[in-house]
Amino acid sequence: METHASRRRTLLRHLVIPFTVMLGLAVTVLTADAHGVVGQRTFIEPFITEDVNPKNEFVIARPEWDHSRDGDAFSLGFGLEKKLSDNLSLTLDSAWLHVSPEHGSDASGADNLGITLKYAFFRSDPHEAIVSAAVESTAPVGVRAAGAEPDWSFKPFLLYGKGAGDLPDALAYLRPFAVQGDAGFEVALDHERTTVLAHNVAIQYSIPYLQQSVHDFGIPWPLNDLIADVEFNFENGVHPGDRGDNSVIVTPGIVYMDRWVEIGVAGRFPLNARANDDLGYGVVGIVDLFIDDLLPWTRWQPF
Amino acid sequence: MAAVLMHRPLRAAVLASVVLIARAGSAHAHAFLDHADPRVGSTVTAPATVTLVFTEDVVPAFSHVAVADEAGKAVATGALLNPEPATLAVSLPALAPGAYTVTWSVISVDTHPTDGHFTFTVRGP
Repeated sequence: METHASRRRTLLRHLVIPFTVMLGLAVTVLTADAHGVVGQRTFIEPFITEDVNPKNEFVIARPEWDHSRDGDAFSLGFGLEKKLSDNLSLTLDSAWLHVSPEHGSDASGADNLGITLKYAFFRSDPHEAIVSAAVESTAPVGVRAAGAEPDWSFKPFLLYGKGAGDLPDALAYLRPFAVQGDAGFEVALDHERTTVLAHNVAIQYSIPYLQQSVHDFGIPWPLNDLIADVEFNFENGVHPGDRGDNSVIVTPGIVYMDRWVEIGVAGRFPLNARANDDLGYGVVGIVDLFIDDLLPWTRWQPF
Repeated sequence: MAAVLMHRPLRAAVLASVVLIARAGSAHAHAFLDHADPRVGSTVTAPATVTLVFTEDVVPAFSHVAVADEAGKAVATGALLNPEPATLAVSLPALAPGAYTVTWSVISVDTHPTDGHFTFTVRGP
Protein backbone atom coordinates (compact mmCIF):
# COMPACT_ATOMS: atom_id res chain seq x y z
CA MET A 1 0.00 0.00 0.00
CA GLU A 2 1.55 3.23 -1.11
CA THR A 3 1.68 5.75 1.71
CA HIS A 4 1.04 9.46 1.47
CA ALA A 5 4.74 10.13 2.03
CA SER A 6 5.87 7.67 -0.61
CA ARG A 7 3.47 9.23 -3.13
CA ARG A 8 5.04 12.58 -2.39
CA ARG A 9 8.51 11.13 -2.90
CA THR A 10 7.31 9.68 -6.18
CA LEU A 11 6.08 13.12 -7.19
CA LEU A 12 9.44 14.56 -6.23
CA ARG A 13 11.27 12.02 -8.34
CA HIS A 14 8.98 12.12 -11.36
CA LEU A 15 7.91 15.75 -11.51
CA VAL A 16 10.21 18.13 -9.69
CA ILE A 17 13.45 16.68 -10.97
CA PRO A 18 12.45 16.80 -14.67
CA PHE A 19 11.08 20.32 -14.07
CA THR A 20 14.39 21.39 -12.58
CA VAL A 21 16.34 19.79 -15.44
CA MET A 22 14.20 21.69 -17.93
CA LEU A 23 14.76 24.89 -16.02
CA GLY A 24 18.49 24.24 -16.12
CA LEU A 25 18.29 23.77 -19.86
CA ALA A 26 16.38 27.01 -20.11
CA VAL A 27 19.13 28.82 -18.27
CA THR A 28 21.99 27.42 -20.28
CA VAL A 29 20.85 26.93 -23.84
CA LEU A 30 18.21 29.45 -24.72
CA THR A 31 18.62 31.35 -27.95
CA ALA A 32 17.16 33.12 -30.93
CA ASP A 33 13.58 33.57 -32.14
CA ALA A 34 10.88 32.67 -29.66
CA HIS A 35 7.74 33.82 -31.41
CA GLY A 36 6.45 31.96 -34.40
CA VAL A 37 6.98 34.85 -36.80
CA VAL A 38 6.50 34.15 -40.52
CA GLY A 39 6.49 37.31 -42.60
CA GLN A 40 4.03 39.69 -41.00
CA ARG A 41 2.31 36.86 -39.09
CA THR A 42 2.91 35.92 -35.49
CA PHE A 43 1.43 32.49 -34.83
CA ILE A 44 0.24 31.63 -31.34
CA GLU A 45 1.09 28.51 -29.39
CA PRO A 46 -2.26 26.70 -29.73
CA PHE A 47 -3.96 24.88 -26.85
CA ILE A 48 -4.05 21.37 -28.31
CA THR A 49 -2.61 21.69 -31.79
CA GLU A 50 1.16 21.46 -32.01
CA ASP A 51 2.77 24.75 -33.08
CA VAL A 52 4.30 24.45 -36.54
CA ASN A 53 7.12 26.87 -35.73
CA PRO A 54 10.43 25.71 -34.27
CA LYS A 55 11.07 28.23 -31.52
CA ASN A 56 12.42 28.87 -28.06
CA GLU A 57 9.70 28.83 -25.50
CA PHE A 58 9.04 27.75 -21.97
CA VAL A 59 5.53 26.53 -21.30
CA ILE A 60 5.47 27.01 -17.55
CA ALA A 61 1.87 25.90 -17.11
CA ARG A 62 -0.72 24.19 -19.26
CA PRO A 63 -3.48 23.26 -16.83
CA GLU A 64 -6.40 21.18 -18.04
CA TRP A 65 -9.53 20.04 -16.20
CA ASP A 66 -11.67 17.41 -17.90
CA HIS A 67 -14.97 15.96 -16.72
CA SER A 68 -16.38 12.76 -18.14
CA ARG A 69 -18.91 10.15 -17.10
CA ASP A 70 -15.99 8.09 -15.75
CA GLY A 71 -14.78 10.88 -13.44
CA ASP A 72 -12.61 13.96 -13.42
CA ALA A 73 -9.02 14.47 -14.50
CA PHE A 74 -6.60 17.32 -13.98
CA SER A 75 -3.22 17.75 -15.61
CA LEU A 76 -0.65 20.48 -15.23
CA GLY A 77 1.59 20.37 -18.28
CA PHE A 78 4.95 22.06 -18.71
CA GLY A 79 7.64 21.94 -21.36
CA LEU A 80 10.65 23.51 -22.94
CA GLU A 81 11.29 23.90 -26.66
CA LYS A 82 14.80 24.81 -27.77
CA LYS A 83 15.96 25.69 -31.26
CA LEU A 84 18.99 23.72 -32.32
CA SER A 85 19.22 25.61 -35.61
CA ASP A 86 17.04 28.13 -37.41
CA ASN A 87 14.75 25.35 -38.61
CA LEU A 88 15.18 22.57 -36.05
CA SER A 89 13.99 22.34 -32.46
CA LEU A 90 13.91 19.86 -29.60
CA THR A 91 11.03 19.78 -27.12
CA LEU A 92 10.84 18.09 -23.73
CA ASP A 93 7.47 18.11 -22.02
CA SER A 94 5.54 16.34 -19.32
CA ALA A 95 2.71 16.96 -16.86
CA TRP A 96 1.52 16.31 -13.37
CA LEU A 97 -1.67 14.26 -13.40
CA HIS A 98 -4.50 13.82 -10.91
CA VAL A 99 -7.43 11.56 -11.66
CA SER A 100 -10.64 11.19 -9.65
CA PRO A 101 -12.52 8.22 -11.10
CA GLU A 102 -16.26 7.86 -10.56
CA HIS A 103 -15.64 4.42 -9.09
CA GLY A 104 -12.29 3.99 -7.38
CA SER A 105 -9.76 6.05 -5.51
CA ASP A 106 -7.93 9.18 -6.63
CA ALA A 107 -4.43 8.90 -8.03
CA SER A 108 -1.70 11.43 -8.77
CA GLY A 109 1.70 11.43 -10.37
CA ALA A 110 3.87 12.44 -13.25
CA ASP A 111 2.94 11.84 -16.86
CA ASN A 112 5.31 10.31 -19.36
CA LEU A 113 8.13 12.37 -20.85
CA GLY A 114 7.52 13.61 -24.38
CA ILE A 115 10.51 14.21 -26.64
CA THR A 116 9.89 15.92 -29.98
CA LEU A 117 12.17 16.84 -32.85
CA LYS A 118 10.68 19.35 -35.29
CA TYR A 119 12.12 20.55 -38.59
CA ALA A 120 10.65 23.34 -40.73
CA PHE A 121 11.38 22.44 -44.35
CA PHE A 122 9.25 25.04 -46.15
CA ARG A 123 8.74 28.68 -45.38
CA SER A 124 7.31 31.57 -47.39
CA ASP A 125 7.30 34.93 -45.66
CA PRO A 126 5.20 36.76 -48.32
CA HIS A 127 2.51 34.07 -48.05
CA GLU A 128 2.88 33.64 -44.27
CA ALA A 129 3.23 29.91 -44.85
CA ILE A 130 5.33 27.30 -43.08
CA VAL A 131 5.42 23.48 -43.12
CA SER A 132 7.31 21.26 -40.69
CA ALA A 133 7.87 17.58 -40.05
CA ALA A 134 8.22 16.19 -36.56
CA VAL A 135 8.66 12.99 -34.61
CA GLU A 136 7.41 12.72 -31.05
CA SER A 137 8.35 9.85 -28.79
CA THR A 138 6.91 9.32 -25.35
CA ALA A 139 9.09 7.67 -22.72
CA PRO A 140 7.09 5.62 -20.17
CA VAL A 141 8.53 7.21 -17.03
CA GLY A 142 5.21 8.35 -15.58
CA VAL A 143 2.88 6.95 -12.95
CA ARG A 144 0.50 4.44 -14.50
CA ALA A 145 -2.09 4.75 -11.76
CA ALA A 146 -2.44 8.42 -12.60
CA GLY A 147 -3.05 7.69 -16.26
CA ALA A 148 0.44 7.60 -17.78
CA GLU A 149 0.59 5.04 -20.59
CA PRO A 150 2.66 1.93 -19.84
CA ASP A 151 4.91 1.77 -22.86
CA TRP A 152 6.72 3.82 -25.47
CA SER A 153 4.77 5.49 -28.24
CA PHE A 154 5.85 7.31 -31.38
CA LYS A 155 4.16 9.88 -33.54
CA PRO A 156 5.57 11.01 -36.88
CA PHE A 157 3.56 13.99 -38.02
CA LEU A 158 3.33 16.92 -40.40
CA LEU A 159 2.58 20.45 -39.27
CA TYR A 160 1.42 23.45 -41.24
CA GLY A 161 0.69 27.11 -40.72
CA LYS A 162 -0.81 29.64 -43.12
CA GLY A 163 -1.82 33.24 -42.60
CA ALA A 164 -4.39 34.96 -44.79
CA GLY A 165 -2.30 38.08 -45.26
CA ASP A 166 -2.06 37.61 -49.01
CA LEU A 167 -5.81 37.93 -49.57
CA PRO A 168 -6.84 40.73 -51.98
CA ASP A 169 -7.85 44.17 -50.73
CA ALA A 170 -11.55 43.35 -51.10
CA LEU A 171 -11.09 40.72 -48.38
CA ALA A 172 -8.72 42.76 -46.23
CA TYR A 173 -10.67 42.18 -43.01
CA LEU A 174 -10.16 38.43 -43.42
CA ARG A 175 -6.37 38.84 -43.45
CA PRO A 176 -6.08 38.51 -39.66
CA PHE A 177 -7.23 34.89 -40.03
CA ALA A 178 -4.64 32.12 -39.86
CA VAL A 179 -4.74 28.37 -39.63
CA GLN A 180 -2.33 25.96 -37.98
CA GLY A 181 -2.57 22.20 -37.95
CA ASP A 182 -0.86 18.91 -37.34
CA ALA A 183 -1.61 15.40 -38.56
CA GLY A 184 0.10 12.13 -37.83
CA PHE A 185 -0.16 8.54 -36.70
CA GLU A 186 0.18 7.76 -33.01
CA VAL A 187 1.83 4.36 -32.76
CA ALA A 188 2.06 2.67 -29.35
CA LEU A 189 4.30 -0.29 -28.59
CA ASP A 190 1.95 -1.81 -26.01
CA HIS A 191 -1.00 -4.01 -26.96
CA GLU A 192 -3.60 -2.00 -25.05
CA ARG A 193 -3.60 0.87 -27.52
CA THR A 194 -4.09 0.80 -31.26
CA THR A 195 -2.73 3.19 -33.81
CA VAL A 196 -4.84 6.28 -34.43
CA LEU A 197 -4.65 9.09 -36.97
CA ALA A 198 -4.68 12.34 -35.00
CA HIS A 199 -5.40 15.64 -36.74
CA ASN A 200 -5.69 19.01 -35.03
CA VAL A 201 -6.66 22.29 -36.70
CA ALA A 202 -6.47 25.72 -35.06
CA ILE A 203 -8.23 28.68 -36.70
CA GLN A 204 -7.19 32.06 -35.37
CA TYR A 205 -8.23 35.70 -35.77
CA SER A 206 -5.61 38.20 -34.61
CA ILE A 207 -6.55 41.66 -33.32
CA PRO A 208 -2.85 42.71 -33.39
CA TYR A 209 -2.70 41.79 -37.07
CA LEU A 210 -5.90 43.74 -37.72
CA GLN A 211 -4.46 46.82 -36.03
CA GLN A 212 -0.99 46.64 -37.53
CA SER A 213 -1.79 45.65 -41.09
CA VAL A 214 -5.43 46.21 -42.00
CA HIS A 215 -7.08 48.98 -40.01
CA ASP A 216 -5.95 50.68 -36.82
CA PHE A 217 -9.17 51.12 -34.88
CA GLY A 218 -7.32 52.42 -31.84
CA ILE A 219 -8.32 49.37 -29.82
CA PRO A 220 -6.70 49.82 -26.37
CA TRP A 221 -4.55 47.39 -24.38
CA PRO A 222 -5.14 44.60 -23.50
CA LEU A 223 -7.82 44.08 -26.15
CA ASN A 224 -5.33 44.93 -28.90
CA ASP A 225 -3.26 41.88 -27.94
CA LEU A 226 -6.07 39.31 -28.08
CA ILE A 227 -6.32 36.46 -30.55
CA ALA A 228 -9.41 34.30 -30.90
CA ASP A 229 -8.68 30.62 -31.46
CA VAL A 230 -10.97 27.70 -32.27
CA GLU A 231 -9.43 24.24 -32.54
CA PHE A 232 -10.88 21.02 -33.83
CA ASN A 233 -9.28 17.83 -32.57
CA PHE A 234 -9.88 14.66 -34.58
CA GLU A 235 -8.87 11.09 -33.78
CA ASN A 236 -9.61 8.30 -36.23
CA GLY A 237 -9.01 4.60 -35.67
CA VAL A 238 -7.02 3.07 -38.51
CA HIS A 239 -7.05 -0.62 -37.59
CA PRO A 240 -9.71 -2.68 -39.38
CA GLY A 241 -11.62 -3.16 -36.14
CA ASP A 242 -11.41 0.52 -35.27
CA ARG A 243 -12.66 1.99 -38.54
CA GLY A 244 -15.46 4.42 -37.84
CA ASP A 245 -14.15 4.95 -34.32
CA ASN A 246 -13.82 8.69 -34.86
CA SER A 247 -13.67 11.31 -32.14
CA VAL A 248 -14.11 15.06 -32.67
CA ILE A 249 -13.62 17.69 -29.96
CA VAL A 250 -13.87 21.46 -30.33
CA THR A 251 -11.67 23.77 -28.27
CA PRO A 252 -12.75 27.44 -28.50
CA GLY A 253 -10.59 29.93 -26.63
CA ILE A 254 -8.99 33.31 -26.37
CA VAL A 255 -5.31 34.18 -26.07
CA TYR A 256 -3.48 37.26 -24.87
CA MET A 257 -0.06 37.47 -26.46
CA ASP A 258 2.55 40.20 -26.19
CA ARG A 259 6.30 40.19 -26.70
CA TRP A 260 7.07 38.19 -23.61
CA VAL A 261 4.17 35.99 -22.68
CA GLU A 262 1.13 34.17 -23.99
CA ILE A 263 -1.77 33.54 -21.62
CA GLY A 264 -4.92 31.80 -22.79
CA VAL A 265 -7.99 29.87 -21.73
CA ALA A 266 -10.30 27.62 -23.72
CA GLY A 267 -13.22 25.25 -23.26
CA ARG A 268 -13.29 21.67 -24.54
CA PHE A 269 -16.48 20.06 -25.78
CA PRO A 270 -17.23 16.81 -27.62
CA LEU A 271 -18.80 17.12 -31.05
CA ASN A 272 -19.87 13.49 -31.47
CA ALA A 273 -20.96 10.54 -29.36
CA ARG A 274 -17.58 8.82 -29.54
CA ALA A 275 -15.85 11.92 -28.17
CA ASN A 276 -18.49 12.18 -25.45
CA ASP A 277 -17.44 8.73 -24.23
CA ASP A 278 -14.13 10.27 -23.13
CA LEU A 279 -15.07 13.88 -22.40
CA GLY A 280 -18.14 15.66 -21.09
CA TYR A 281 -16.56 19.08 -20.92
CA GLY A 282 -13.23 20.57 -20.03
CA VAL A 283 -11.21 23.72 -19.58
CA VAL A 284 -7.62 24.20 -20.71
CA GLY A 285 -5.23 27.09 -20.12
CA ILE A 286 -1.74 28.06 -21.16
CA VAL A 287 1.03 30.27 -19.79
CA ASP A 288 3.90 30.44 -22.24
CA LEU A 289 7.08 32.51 -21.86
CA PHE A 290 8.95 33.67 -24.97
CA ILE A 291 12.32 33.10 -23.47
CA ASP A 292 14.62 34.66 -26.05
CA ASP A 293 12.84 37.98 -25.71
CA LEU A 294 12.93 37.71 -21.94
CA LEU A 295 16.56 36.58 -21.81
CA PRO A 296 18.36 37.92 -24.88
CA TRP A 297 21.77 37.38 -23.23
CA THR A 298 21.30 33.65 -23.51
CA ARG A 299 21.25 33.45 -27.31
CA TRP A 300 23.06 30.46 -28.59
CA GLN A 301 22.24 27.57 -30.85
CA PRO A 302 24.59 24.77 -31.87
CA PHE A 303 23.89 24.74 -35.60
CA MET B 1 9.03 16.09 6.62
CA ALA B 2 8.05 14.54 3.31
CA ALA B 3 6.10 17.67 2.50
CA VAL B 4 9.21 19.73 3.15
CA LEU B 5 11.23 17.43 0.90
CA MET B 6 8.72 17.88 -1.88
CA HIS B 7 8.29 21.60 -1.59
CA ARG B 8 11.91 22.66 -1.35
CA PRO B 9 12.98 21.73 -4.89
CA LEU B 10 9.69 22.96 -6.32
CA ARG B 11 9.95 26.22 -4.43
CA ALA B 12 13.56 26.59 -5.53
CA ALA B 13 12.63 25.98 -9.17
CA VAL B 14 9.81 28.52 -9.09
CA LEU B 15 12.03 31.02 -7.30
CA ALA B 16 14.78 30.49 -9.88
CA SER B 17 12.26 31.19 -12.66
CA VAL B 18 11.22 34.45 -11.03
CA VAL B 19 14.83 35.51 -10.52
CA LEU B 20 15.71 34.69 -14.13
CA ILE B 21 12.82 36.75 -15.44
CA ALA B 22 13.64 39.60 -13.11
CA ARG B 23 17.28 39.52 -14.22
CA ALA B 24 16.20 39.95 -17.79
CA GLY B 25 16.00 43.66 -17.01
CA SER B 26 15.31 45.58 -20.18
CA ALA B 27 13.81 42.95 -22.43
CA HIS B 28 14.36 43.03 -26.18
CA ALA B 29 12.22 41.58 -28.86
CA HIS B 30 11.01 41.69 -32.41
CA ALA B 31 10.15 45.21 -33.54
CA PHE B 32 6.49 45.14 -34.51
CA LEU B 33 4.59 48.15 -35.78
CA ASP B 34 2.95 49.83 -32.80
CA HIS B 35 1.22 52.58 -34.75
CA ALA B 36 1.69 54.79 -37.78
CA ASP B 37 0.80 58.25 -38.99
CA PRO B 38 -1.26 58.16 -41.19
CA ARG B 39 -2.93 55.38 -39.23
CA VAL B 40 -3.14 51.94 -40.76
CA GLY B 41 -6.16 51.73 -43.07
CA SER B 42 -7.14 55.37 -42.54
CA THR B 43 -8.41 57.96 -45.04
CA VAL B 44 -6.64 61.30 -44.67
CA THR B 45 -5.82 64.53 -46.43
CA ALA B 46 -2.48 64.31 -48.23
CA PRO B 47 0.17 63.80 -45.49
CA ALA B 48 3.61 65.42 -45.64
CA THR B 49 5.33 62.45 -43.98
CA VAL B 50 4.79 58.81 -43.08
CA THR B 51 5.86 58.02 -39.53
CA LEU B 52 6.17 54.48 -38.16
CA VAL B 53 6.53 53.81 -34.44
CA PHE B 54 7.73 50.34 -33.49
CA THR B 55 7.51 48.34 -30.31
CA GLU B 56 11.30 48.16 -30.05
CA ASP B 57 14.26 50.30 -31.04
CA VAL B 58 15.38 49.70 -34.61
CA VAL B 59 18.63 49.99 -36.55
CA PRO B 60 17.99 52.58 -39.30
CA ALA B 61 21.01 51.49 -41.33
CA PHE B 62 19.35 48.10 -41.86
CA SER B 63 15.79 49.35 -42.12
CA HIS B 64 13.69 50.41 -45.07
CA VAL B 65 10.41 52.24 -45.69
CA ALA B 66 8.85 52.56 -49.14
CA VAL B 67 5.57 54.00 -50.38
CA ALA B 68 3.80 52.98 -53.61
CA ASP B 69 0.61 54.16 -55.27
CA GLU B 70 -2.35 52.03 -56.38
CA ALA B 71 -0.56 51.10 -59.59
CA GLY B 72 2.45 49.90 -57.62
CA LYS B 73 4.59 52.81 -58.75
CA ALA B 74 7.11 53.91 -56.13
CA VAL B 75 6.59 57.32 -54.57
CA ALA B 76 9.76 59.43 -54.42
CA THR B 77 10.13 59.77 -50.67
CA GLY B 78 12.76 61.70 -48.77
CA ALA B 79 15.63 60.06 -46.92
CA LEU B 80 14.83 57.70 -44.07
CA LEU B 81 14.71 59.58 -40.77
CA ASN B 82 15.15 58.13 -37.27
CA PRO B 83 13.91 60.90 -34.93
CA GLU B 84 13.49 58.49 -32.02
CA PRO B 85 15.16 55.09 -31.45
CA ALA B 86 11.91 53.26 -32.22
CA THR B 87 10.63 55.64 -34.90
CA LEU B 88 11.22 55.81 -38.63
CA ALA B 89 9.85 58.47 -40.99
CA VAL B 90 10.04 59.52 -44.61
CA SER B 91 8.83 62.75 -46.15
CA LEU B 92 6.36 62.62 -49.02
CA PRO B 93 5.76 64.72 -52.10
CA ALA B 94 2.26 66.09 -52.68
CA LEU B 95 0.17 62.96 -53.05
CA ALA B 96 -2.76 62.71 -55.42
CA PRO B 97 -6.03 61.22 -54.11
CA GLY B 98 -5.96 57.42 -54.01
CA ALA B 99 -4.71 54.44 -52.04
CA TYR B 100 -1.07 54.08 -51.04
CA THR B 101 0.83 51.11 -49.67
CA VAL B 102 3.58 51.54 -47.11
CA THR B 103 6.08 48.67 -47.04
CA TRP B 104 8.58 48.44 -44.21
CA SER B 105 11.34 46.15 -43.10
CA VAL B 106 13.38 46.69 -39.96
CA ILE B 107 16.03 45.10 -37.83
CA SER B 108 15.50 45.58 -34.11
CA VAL B 109 18.48 46.50 -31.99
CA ASP B 110 18.77 42.88 -30.88
CA THR B 111 18.92 41.81 -34.56
CA HIS B 112 15.42 40.35 -35.00
CA PRO B 113 14.17 41.11 -38.54
CA THR B 114 10.52 41.94 -39.15
CA ASP B 115 8.62 43.38 -42.08
CA GLY B 116 5.15 44.37 -43.04
CA HIS B 117 2.92 46.60 -45.08
CA PHE B 118 -0.30 48.57 -44.77
CA THR B 119 -2.36 51.00 -46.78
CA PHE B 120 -3.82 54.44 -46.29
CA THR B 121 -6.00 56.48 -48.60
CA VAL B 122 -5.68 60.14 -49.57
CA ARG B 123 -9.14 61.60 -49.94
CA GLY B 124 -10.06 63.73 -52.90
CA PRO B 125 -10.73 67.45 -52.79
